[in-house]
This record gives sequence, structure tokens and C-alpha cells, in this order.
Amino acid sequence: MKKIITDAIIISKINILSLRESLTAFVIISLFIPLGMTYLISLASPNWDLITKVNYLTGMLVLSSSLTIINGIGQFIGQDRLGGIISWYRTSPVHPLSYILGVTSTYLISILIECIILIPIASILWRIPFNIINIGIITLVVIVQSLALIGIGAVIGTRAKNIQTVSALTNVLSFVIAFATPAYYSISAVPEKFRLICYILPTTEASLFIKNLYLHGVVDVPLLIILILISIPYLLIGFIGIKWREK
Amino acid sequence: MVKYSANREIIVVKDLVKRYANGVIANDHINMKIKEGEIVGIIGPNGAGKTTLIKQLTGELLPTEGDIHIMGFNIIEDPSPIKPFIGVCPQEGNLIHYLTVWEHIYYFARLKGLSKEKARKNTDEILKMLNLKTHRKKRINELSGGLKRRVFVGISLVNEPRIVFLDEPTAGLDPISRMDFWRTIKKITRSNPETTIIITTHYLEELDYISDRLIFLNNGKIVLEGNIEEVRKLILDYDIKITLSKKFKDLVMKALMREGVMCKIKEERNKIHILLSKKDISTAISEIARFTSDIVVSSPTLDEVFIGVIENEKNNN
Repeated sequence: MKKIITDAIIISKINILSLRESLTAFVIISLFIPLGMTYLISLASPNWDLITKVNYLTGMLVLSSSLTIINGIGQFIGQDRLGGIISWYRTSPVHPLSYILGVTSTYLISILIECIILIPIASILWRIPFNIINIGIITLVVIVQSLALIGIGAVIGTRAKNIQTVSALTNVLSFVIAFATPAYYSISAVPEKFRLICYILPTTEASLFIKNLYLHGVVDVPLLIILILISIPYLLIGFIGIKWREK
Repeated sequence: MVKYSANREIIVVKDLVKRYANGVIANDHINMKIKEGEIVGIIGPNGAGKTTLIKQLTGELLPTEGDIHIMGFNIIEDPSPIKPFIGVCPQEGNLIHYLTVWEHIYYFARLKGLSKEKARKNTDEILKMLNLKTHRKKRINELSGGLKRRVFVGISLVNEPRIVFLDEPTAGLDPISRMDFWRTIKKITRSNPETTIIITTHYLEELDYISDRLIFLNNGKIVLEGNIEEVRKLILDYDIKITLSKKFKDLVMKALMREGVMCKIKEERNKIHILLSKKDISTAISEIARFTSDIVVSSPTLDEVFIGVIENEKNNN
């Protein structure tokens, strides 16, 4: 177990080193764009009511995490697999779980940083009441939701036939998930026959949880449990595709 | 815990069959034994099943049938016990382009189970041995093809493996880089004579330089194996080659026939190669010397052996 964790940390370090090359792109995508949008919305909507502001904050978190996670994980695993890098891990005494933990933790760290910066700044700019505990709870929910998004990214990364397919699928799917999630709008606005699709998306439960917390001060534990239960199969399906030994 | 004793077979393959989902049989009942410290060259035409065999030996690919025991472990059941003891230089694949040369070798040394101190020490030693020291801070994407190949080898050797698998290690390298590469491997084998090396390559003359034993694969089967001299003799019925100008062909042929020297003649542009047995060498040279002293005496190349093996296979079929 110690070796699995040590190796996961090493793989995570290797992945984090990629930021040296793409630090500017990472900062722009993960922080500047959401913060810039937050600022523009704050200028454009001084008289918005709290519900609209919370919808936008929730939407921003969902959009941002979908783009970062699905694109990042999908392309990372896709490049490792299709570019032959995974062979280096497979022929080393590395447990597949170390690889999964290493890759996953890298993206969870980036989501953690995003949440810690984005939530308080957006809350201040939009004058949404917030406290540290709420930021902690929301960060936890976004991280659980991100596990499912990691699973979706991993499905694409482990199964796509070439890197172009990985790019196309991750780009399309991250936007579809971000906008099919009732974050910018209320779930009641979604036609009833499409609601089931919304509920299958882990981002929906996360959005509803965040909105409940901000608007009603409710920590919706059952919703959190549902979110966890939904995220586990996504994650499992995603990583089942990582083959440590080809047939 | 290593479950075998020294000087015994480190790799034992029994009736190995690999049949892909599309029906292609890449390895067809392969049996082989490789001793500790041996340097074995696996050769064969494209699609002969060399890389498939290597991938099964390294635990990357699951065989359809058969047994593979490495260091006493049944790696079909579980390849993980041998992984700390092997080094693999794959035929294809990329390196992690954003890492520096030092980081790449160091992090994989850590993943191969070395402590931080040992990983640092071994990485520095490998960089020195592979003449990569001046490039240690360069990112992988700044390196030439030859330097990248050396990093491949560096990763495969950093854990001081008992068995090294080199799958087409010099593919795509220029002749000078290839020569440098094999000099390095030779250096390693001299300093660690107990290291077992399994090599596949298309450049057969390289195996002549480094291998103890050759295994010829064709259509997924082992068609011949033995040490280089044995294989040459077995396939070609001769072991000496005399090369001279084509203009002496008729004179030399008459003289050799008169002396009862059994030989084969191969023509190549303005040269002829006279292929004969060692026992006839002095007679042949003294006859040829009557016409010209401009001759080259050599052993047949592995390319000629290889072509001989393939021709024999075709004839047998």
C-alpha cells in the first residue's frame, strides 16, 4: 500500500511538472476566464436578485470544473495511452491504482485551487453572503462531482481510437454537460421528460446542493449521498478502461 | 524474493501462442530458454512476431496459450514480481516531453522502487555512461532522435535490471549514433556480465557485434537458433568469404575448380564474393593470389545468414 501511495505521489508530481510548459494556459483557463466573466457579470448586473447571482456562481463552478476535468483527464490519458507513455508505467513495478490516483489527484488539486480562489472572489464581487464553512462544503461537493467528471474524461481517454477523437469528444462533452446542467437556470425550467437526463449528470446534484446552501442555508446531506453514489460508477467505468495488460 | 539460482535459465518459454482477436497468429508454439548473462538477438522479417514476443515477456501482453517463467515466476499468472528486475526499451512510444532528461530518468528510477538517494546516484551514473550529462537539464522535446533513444535506454537501465529487453533500440538512428549506442551496451555488458539482454533489431550486423546467441523468427515460429558461428555454418555451408574484382571471375573459377575447391560465387556490381569452407582457405588464397592481391577475406554477414534462413523456410514450405 505504501508503494502504491508513493508511486501515486510521484506520478502526480510528474503531471504537475507539465504546468511548467502550460502554466499560462492553465491560469487563463482555470482562473482568468472565470474571474473575468465573474467581474463582467458583476458590472452588468448590479441589480440582479440573489437567485440569479447564485445561479451564475453555480454555473461558473460547473462550467469551469467540466472544462478543466473532462478536457484535462481525457487528453492526458489519451496522450499517455496512444502515445505509448503508458508502456513506461506498465513495464515498471507500478500498480494501476497508483496511475489512477496520480492522475486523479493532479486534477483534484487544480479544482481545489479553482474553488478556493473563485468562490470567495465571485461572492465578494456579486455581494453574495458567504462564510468559510460554506466555501469548504462547496469545495467538497465540487470535488465529489469532479470525481464523476474524471470518470467521464477517463472513458474518453481510455477508449478513443486516436487523439483527434479524444479532443473532439472532450470539447463537445464538457460543454454539453456544463449547459445541460440546471445551474444557470432552475431544474423546474427543464421539460419533465428531459429531467431524468439532468439527474443522471453528477453536475446536477452538485448544482442543486450549492443552490440550496446559498439560498436556503441547507446542507442537503441526502443530495450529497446521491452525488457520491452517482460519482462512483462514473469513476469505475472510466478507469476500468485502463489496461495494464493488453489481451 | 528471487526464486531461481544463478547460472540457470532466467527465461523459460513453453509452447507460447499469441493469437490476436483478428485471427492473426503472431507467435506460434514458441519454446526457448535463456540463461542468465546471455545476450540473445531475436531477428526476423517484419511481422515475424518479435515485438509480440517481447511484449509477452515483459508482461504487457497476455499470451493465448503457453507458459512463461522468468526468474522462476510464472508471469502469465502475475507479471508484477519480475517488474523491479527488468528494464524495457520499447520499439515505439514517446517520452514525457515536458520533463528534463534528468527528471525523466530519476522519476522512473523512483517508480521502479529505488530510494531517493539511490535513484539520484543511479540517474547521475546513467547520464554519465550514456553521455547525456551535458543534456541533463534539457527538456525531452529539445532532444534529437538519437538523444531521445539514449533516454529510452537510460530509463530501462536505471534500476540495474537483471534482464534488459531492447526492442529495435537503434531504429531510426544514424550510423554514428547506432555505433555509439552499441558501444554503450557493450560497456554495460562488460561491467555487469550477469545482466541478460534480449535484443531485436533489423540491423543484423549489430547483433554480430554484440550477441551470444541468435533466435530467428519467421511467421511467428522459431525457425533456427544457435550461436552466430553455428548458425552461419548451419545455413550457409561455408564460413569464409573472399571478395575480389569481377574481372578475375573466370580465371579464379577455373583455378579453384582445378584444385577441387568447393565454393559458391555471388556477384555484386563490379565485385564477386567467393564463399567457401575454412579448410580450403589456404588453397583458395594461393590460387587467387596468382591473379590479384587485392582481396578481402571476411566472414559471411548476418544479412546473408538471414536471407539463407528465409530462403530455406520457403523451400521447406
